[in-house]
Amino acid sequence: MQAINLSQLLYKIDETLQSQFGYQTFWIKAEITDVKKYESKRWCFLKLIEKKDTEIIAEMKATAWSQGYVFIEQFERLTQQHFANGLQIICKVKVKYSIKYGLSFDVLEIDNSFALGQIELQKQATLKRLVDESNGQIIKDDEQYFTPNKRLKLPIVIQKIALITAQNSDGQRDFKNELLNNNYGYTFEVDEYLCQIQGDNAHENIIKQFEQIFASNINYHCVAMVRGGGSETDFKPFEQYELAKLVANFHLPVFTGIGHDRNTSIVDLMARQLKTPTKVAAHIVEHNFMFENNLLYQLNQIEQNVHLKIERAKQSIINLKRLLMSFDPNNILKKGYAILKVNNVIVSNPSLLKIGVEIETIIKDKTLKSVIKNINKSTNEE
Amino acid sequence: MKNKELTFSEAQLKLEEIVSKIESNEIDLEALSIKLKEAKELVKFCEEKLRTIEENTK
Repeated sequence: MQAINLSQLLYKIDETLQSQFGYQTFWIKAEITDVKKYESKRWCFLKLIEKKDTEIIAEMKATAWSQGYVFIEQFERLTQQHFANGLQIICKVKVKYSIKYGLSFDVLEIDNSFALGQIELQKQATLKRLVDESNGQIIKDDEQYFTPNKRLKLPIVIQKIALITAQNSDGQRDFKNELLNNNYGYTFEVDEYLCQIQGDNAHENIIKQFEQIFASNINYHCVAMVRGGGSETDFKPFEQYELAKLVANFHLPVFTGIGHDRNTSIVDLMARQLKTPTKVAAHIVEHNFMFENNLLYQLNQIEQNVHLKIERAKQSIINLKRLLMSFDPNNILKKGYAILKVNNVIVSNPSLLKIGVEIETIIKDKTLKSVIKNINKSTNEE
Repeated sequence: MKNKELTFSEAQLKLEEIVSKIESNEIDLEALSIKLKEAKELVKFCEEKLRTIEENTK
């Protein structure tokens, strides 16, 4: 039997493939899996698969070298999601064969508009499911979502906060720094519920923290879920149905500051979205300041009313005092008037005065005694 | 007169009554000095009350 070397056969395969495919390129639609990125080298190894129901019916190794990697970076920038397992993509590939590494595709381009469309479709489907399965509790109105959580009334003053964040993250530091060093000197109690907030299973970790907050029976005033300083692309946990549903129905008001300005995640739509950890803390401080400000205003109003009342009372007493002074006989005598007395009784009825009666005349500083000699009718008597 | 048991408003009312009586000549000259003495005490009482209230609200 005559045998040829393995490489000889493989070279033949290589030649056949070269003649068949050469430098041709193809646009194909596939799901990606086994994604391994080498960011420093800007390479990405992956598998392209096609499924029928849940069964994989086609599979091919693929590599995005730096030419294709540019599109992966663009994908992550546009979608704020990792280029990760499970995504449907449309990509331009070239068939590549190596007698050592076998058959694979080189990924040359990725149609990111398709990827974006897919993500948006997925997002809309999740939002629709949230509304449809909420028994009318989650209502969509003009692109706004009204959830039981958003309808919860905030306490007048927020002091006790459950914080969901990643340990030693920028988000944790920024939130606490802004909150605890606030300009008004307000104090807060912050209980931290720490967990991984990025990665494929992050939403499960976050859900566990919400469950712990619920189980604690502690009367928190609100939940702050903050994230910052991590990857710009890992927002996938916040697009998950289960986490979004839990937040939408959570019994405490939830603030989100998950650190992205361009997009709004599904979880953001279900809660009170404030974009960044610092903004969440500032909002809570401001909420409390509104209460204090209102109190100060009320106090000022009371003070003004009291002041006004005192001033009115003072004026009233001054007026009464003036009147009393004008009635004082001593003051009347000073003006030149006199008081007449007969038998030590003040004469208020002049008809009692008769000729020969002894009278006492009291004027300023002196009392005069005299006898009536004559009585004439007063000239100015009307 | 036990002014200490009075409130400011009660004292003020009493004062106003005295003034009103004097103005309408309901009080003869004999009784006037007694009423004036009473009124002066009431004024003093009211002024002290006001001072205390003012101090307390500062």
